[in-house]
Amino acid sequence: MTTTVTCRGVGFSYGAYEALHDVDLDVGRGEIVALAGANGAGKTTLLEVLLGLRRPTSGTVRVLGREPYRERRRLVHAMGAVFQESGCAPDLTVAETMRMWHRLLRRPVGDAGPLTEVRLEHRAHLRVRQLSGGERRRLDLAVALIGEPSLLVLDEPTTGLDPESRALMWELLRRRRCEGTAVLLSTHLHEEAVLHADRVEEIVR
Amino acid sequence: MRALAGAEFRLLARSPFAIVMAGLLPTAVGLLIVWAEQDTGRAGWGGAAGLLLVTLVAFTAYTGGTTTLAARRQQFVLKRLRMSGARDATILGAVILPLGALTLVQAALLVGILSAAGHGPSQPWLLAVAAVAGTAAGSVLAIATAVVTPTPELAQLTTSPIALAFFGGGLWAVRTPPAEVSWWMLAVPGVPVTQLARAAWDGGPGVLAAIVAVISLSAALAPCAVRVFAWDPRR
Repeated sequence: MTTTVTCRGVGFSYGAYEALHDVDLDVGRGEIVALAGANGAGKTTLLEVLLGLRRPTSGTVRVLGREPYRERRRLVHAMGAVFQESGCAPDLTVAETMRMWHRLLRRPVGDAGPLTEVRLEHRAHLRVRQLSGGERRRLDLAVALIGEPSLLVLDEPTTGLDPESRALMWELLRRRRCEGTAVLLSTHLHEEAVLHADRVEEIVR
Repeated sequence: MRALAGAEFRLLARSPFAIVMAGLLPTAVGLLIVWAEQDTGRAGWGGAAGLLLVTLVAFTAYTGGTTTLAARRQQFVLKRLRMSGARDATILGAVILPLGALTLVQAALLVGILSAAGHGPSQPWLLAVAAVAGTAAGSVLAIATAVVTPTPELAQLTTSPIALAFFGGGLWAVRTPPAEVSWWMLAVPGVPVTQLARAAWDGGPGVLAAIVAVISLSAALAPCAVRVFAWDPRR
């Protein structure tokens, strides 16, 4: 299996506080890997290191053969991210948000595929602040899918979703996996992760 | 840049009251200058216009820019935008670009009113330089201040010292004859902007030094502010 993500001995500290210590992780192409762990275990920090938003204080990280912190701008087109918080401007409409991200990622603006995939096309005219929590989560995922990423990094993507939306999310991730996308997600829901992911990796401090 | 700035312009345009108020400020104060100048004649047209220009820069480009950046960070918009492939400086610049543009529109309104009253600048290019360079300095200072502004609610407090430096610098420049404005005075943000605006009406020495001072401030501060900028409200 081709490796999309490789971490060896990764550590990260916020000043004197060590958030990650000696983490090893591999995620292969077309694989769904769930990161489980208690609050404060460092799941979000690890995902941010992989996305190139934080520089690891020790160890090596490679995403698609590149070092994410130094080469983030080259990698962003190959990575889709869903953070714990939405990050979409509340006063833009869903359609305006999608149009902006299509332009930023240099994708055809008329492509309604990602919005249709998360079943939000009927809400395109609404402002983001008017969406329910679950709908915002789906919009985040739609934005993450715009670049047709080889790696999806999702920070607690199913938290706060109703069962139907959760099933939709997993169905979508399985479909992407079949197309060769690597998926790395963090979750508190261990049973759900065991049920749907190919592998569950525990992060302990 | 265009996609990001376009979205920010759209958000600004969704606040018609803010736009009306932004137009009202230079209009009202422009008329006040005309009235006060005829009444007192102390500051001169250039000095009075310079004082208003630094007020516009301090309110709109600087305080507005700081608040906007703090708000976008709190909404996690800035963190998300870092996954867009745009450079960090481009993201920050695009977010505050509409406020910079609004400041220039306000400055144009001010000049329009003074010109309509028959008191336009004799060297308009100097006023244009003052407006553009002052707005750029205000925007860069907004990025720097947003570094230490954890929430938009605190922006009013964290921006106070530099906003006062704009107002106070303007007053200081107006009270100092152009030839006596020293290099170290030009380090105060409001001084070079007012000096240039005054020169647009009255001419006088110190134009080059004022231009160098205001451009140097932006050029020196911008890379540092972008480098240490906090993108995540949780740090």
